[in-house]
Amino acid sequence: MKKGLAIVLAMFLILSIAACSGKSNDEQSQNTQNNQAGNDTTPAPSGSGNGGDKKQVTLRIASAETAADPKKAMEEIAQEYEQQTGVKVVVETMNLDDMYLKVQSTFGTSAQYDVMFSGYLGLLTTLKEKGIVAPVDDVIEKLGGKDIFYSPTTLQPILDGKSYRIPYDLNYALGYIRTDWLQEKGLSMPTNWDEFLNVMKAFTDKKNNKYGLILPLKIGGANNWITTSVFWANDVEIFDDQMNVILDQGDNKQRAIESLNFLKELNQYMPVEAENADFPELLAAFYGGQVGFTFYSGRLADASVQSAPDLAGKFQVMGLPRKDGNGYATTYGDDGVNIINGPNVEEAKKFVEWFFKEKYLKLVAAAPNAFFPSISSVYESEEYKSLPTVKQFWNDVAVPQQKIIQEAKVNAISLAGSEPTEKQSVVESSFIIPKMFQRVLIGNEDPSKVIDATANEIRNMIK
Amino acid sequence: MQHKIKRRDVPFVLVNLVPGLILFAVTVIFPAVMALRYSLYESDTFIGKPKFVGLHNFAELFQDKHFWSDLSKTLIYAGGSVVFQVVLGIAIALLLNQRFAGRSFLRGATVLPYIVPSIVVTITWQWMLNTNYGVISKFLGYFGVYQFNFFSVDMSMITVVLVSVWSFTPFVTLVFLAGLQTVPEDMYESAALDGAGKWTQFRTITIPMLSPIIANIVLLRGIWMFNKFDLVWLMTGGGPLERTETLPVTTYIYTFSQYKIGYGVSIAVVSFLIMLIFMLIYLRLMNRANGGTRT
Amino acid sequence: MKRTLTSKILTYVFAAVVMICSVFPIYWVVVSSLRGAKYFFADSQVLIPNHISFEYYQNLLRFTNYLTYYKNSLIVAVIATAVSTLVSSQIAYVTSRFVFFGSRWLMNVMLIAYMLPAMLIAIPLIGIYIKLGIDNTLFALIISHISITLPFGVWMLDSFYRTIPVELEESSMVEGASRFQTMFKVVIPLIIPGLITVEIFSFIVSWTDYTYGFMIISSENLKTVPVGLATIRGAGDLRWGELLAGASLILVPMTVVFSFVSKYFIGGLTSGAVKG
Repeated sequence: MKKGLAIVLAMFLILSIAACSGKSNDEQSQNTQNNQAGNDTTPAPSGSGNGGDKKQVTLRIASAETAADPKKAMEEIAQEYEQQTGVKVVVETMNLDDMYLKVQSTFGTSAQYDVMFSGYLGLLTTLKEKGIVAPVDDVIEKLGGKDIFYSPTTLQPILDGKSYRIPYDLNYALGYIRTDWLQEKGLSMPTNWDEFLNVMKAFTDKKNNKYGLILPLKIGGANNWITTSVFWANDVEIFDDQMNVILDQGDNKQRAIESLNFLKELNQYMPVEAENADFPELLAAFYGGQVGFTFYSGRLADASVQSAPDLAGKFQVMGLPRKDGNGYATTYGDDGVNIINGPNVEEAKKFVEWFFKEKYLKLVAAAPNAFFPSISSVYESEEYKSLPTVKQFWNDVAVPQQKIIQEAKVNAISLAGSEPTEKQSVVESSFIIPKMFQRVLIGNEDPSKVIDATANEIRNMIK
Repeated sequence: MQHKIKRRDVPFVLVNLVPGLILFAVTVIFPAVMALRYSLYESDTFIGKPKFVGLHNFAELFQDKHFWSDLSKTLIYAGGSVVFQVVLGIAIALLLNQRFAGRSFLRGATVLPYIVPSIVVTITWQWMLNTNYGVISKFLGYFGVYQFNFFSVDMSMITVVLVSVWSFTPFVTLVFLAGLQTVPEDMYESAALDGAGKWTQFRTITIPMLSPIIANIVLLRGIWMFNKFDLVWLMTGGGPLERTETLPVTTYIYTFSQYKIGYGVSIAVVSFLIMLIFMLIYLRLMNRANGGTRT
Repeated sequence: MKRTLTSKILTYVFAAVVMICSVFPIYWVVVSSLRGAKYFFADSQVLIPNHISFEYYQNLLRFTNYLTYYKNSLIVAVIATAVSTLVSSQIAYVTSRFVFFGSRWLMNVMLIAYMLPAMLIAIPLIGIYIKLGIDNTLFALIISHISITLPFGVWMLDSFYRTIPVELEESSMVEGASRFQTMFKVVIPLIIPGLITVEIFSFIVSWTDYTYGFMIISSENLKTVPVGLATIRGAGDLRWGELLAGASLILVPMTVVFSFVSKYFIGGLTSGAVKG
């Protein structure tokens, strides 16, 4: 009897495994076909996984707008669209870090997204290579063509001559400096590295828990975006036009060493939290009056109304001074809309067009400084200027921000080298530059050696 | 008493065994087999066609110096937290085994940390250890220590170990408590009559009686901590300077942040093989302790 | 044994330390969450609050779907617990009563399964869910949790069943009851403490899970509490108050419920189970 049961059991195990693998293989091939054939057989996406009418179109939006007011605005916009057109729109809010995984892993399944509202992913090239994102040139045309946007950089990245993204705001890394502290110390706005270091030194009073600045040194998106400004402020390039790694070559290496040494000097004027700082820690330190300088998007100003009302009028936006005082530098960033390939591409495009034509200002109003309009006519419009926090911070945030956009030296990992390719994505997602900063600042390694090692690692990764 | 299955028992056995085994096969066996398959492929998505690379992932892994340093960090994390858990677990179990007012209340209270979700554990301790606003930083201030960073490059591993100890010791305590309750009271009484002090009793009675449980705990908890992902990931994200990057964290980073799925899974497979060695030692010990038969 | 005064004092001192270490962090989270924005940072180190405000709770409930997270967590935990308890009690009964080819091997596999790296199972499971189109569903999450709780349940209940004398069943069957009747009428009532232990354990595993929930669930309306809370934390804004409020909303009900069931849990874990 014992043998018989054993055979039955073994059969069950084998059968169940075989059944599962067979099923998943079928699904897999079906999915691959779907993707190639433009998803014409994919069932209608259903928002919550609880089924739903197959004829009824439901648009699923993956949104990285996690802050309370923008999130609410997005949900209201979705509801209004449903009321007006009968097309159901579901907004799924998620953290930017998770978005690529979610979008990618659901692609081609019944739970796939149709539209992405996301921060600068730096991975758009990869999404494009996989055929996940759809070109949006036709939508841009309907909105009035590329000239409606603020600056040519806002349409980055243009891949193979096509646009895959419509930016809805510009997020240059903005330096916030406490003007009242400057006054108190009798200092003026720093214009080069020496002056900047001086100011930071003057701000620092460790006994009273006051520090010059905080930069995000934790490995992550904040570090990639903000801390790399020290490179751009000294014209350091990671790639040349042919996408060769030149970080460790000639003068460029010299400049990179200078940048790292500058960062090292700055580190003396940072609180210990900088080592683990990500976005929230920057806000905490600046709102708490612990530091006199930090980088952030316009959100710092918007949220200060609630979190630190006393700060109003006590800070101003600036870029990071370039080494020899030749203006300022900053890192590029934006938030944009992508449309994801699938059965609902056309519906999604209609929604996006409607959004930009009818509801753009509604979203912008939810965080007016953070959502610095990518469309120049909106920036110049009275409606925008009369939004409460825009009005309040007009001279301290909006005007200097516009100046930075026009004049500052702008770069970013994702803009490094020639046109965007997967190579920049790899550098961004591997966090190799943040790791480099940590090795020098926290690990006390020799900048020159770290640069050589990092450059070689990048070469290996993009081979 | 176990016996062989008779013919009339067959329907009963099948009805009870089959649904569960199917569920087990689907949720555990099949994914584990799939994991082995994944590790032989190179892929950056879960959809689409992966590329077969044979043992290439493993070859690359063994040459990767990050892997070896992450392995040593994992051993430090698992070893460190288990040692503290065992020492504290025995101490608290001895306490809870005594008679004193409020004992049953304390028994309940000591278990509380065990049921706190890791995300809440993280929030709790990051708040308490916050350099500027944390209550523990305030406490350190009384000793003249200011601006202490619990998550600095030198402290982060220690902090993560200690928080893990807070979170996971209760389970160990309960197991030791169970063990202590099996020690006959009269062993202590006769030892006391022989003039043995408390310490001698502890050394000659308690520890030997508990030693099989200690061996169990060290092995099982060690494996459990070796595989721990969420707490480490949420507390530090593996940083700073990769000082808390244990193998599960590395697996996660490769798989979900760098999209090298095959490589990520091959790390999980190697972790499993390492743990399997300890597991087999454990099963060996257990079977020997039971004289080869389970009773 | 006579106990001296010093040892008595030492006992109480140690008990107090253990008590504080276990309970104070929970108290601290709750107290901090009640300070309100006005006193949050200013009073952040005050042991006993002078002001109480539910501001952060209001924010949390207004800006997140916290109650939905709660509902999802409960659905997942209850179903995962029920299924894994039922199924593991069935398997364990057979393994504790019958010897068959591979029965011993089966128990070892169960133990090894319980010790598998979460990532080893989670990554392929996600791949499978995606291919089946059931990723981002509570069903997928329940299945994943069962992959942890089932092996543990079998392992644990097996030792519980072994503490029950077979004679009881034999006499029941001599009286004409079938095996099924015997199992339900005689054996199951006797292992209720074991079942409760497994239930509590499964519930805790499912309720506290972050890893699987985070990887499987993307929809806002399907998030469980730990995943929802982690989303707030990762959002990049400064939300200590809301985070602590969210944490308190997990800690307080949990503590209350656990205070009722803790004696079963502790009793279950400290009875025969762990000796097996």
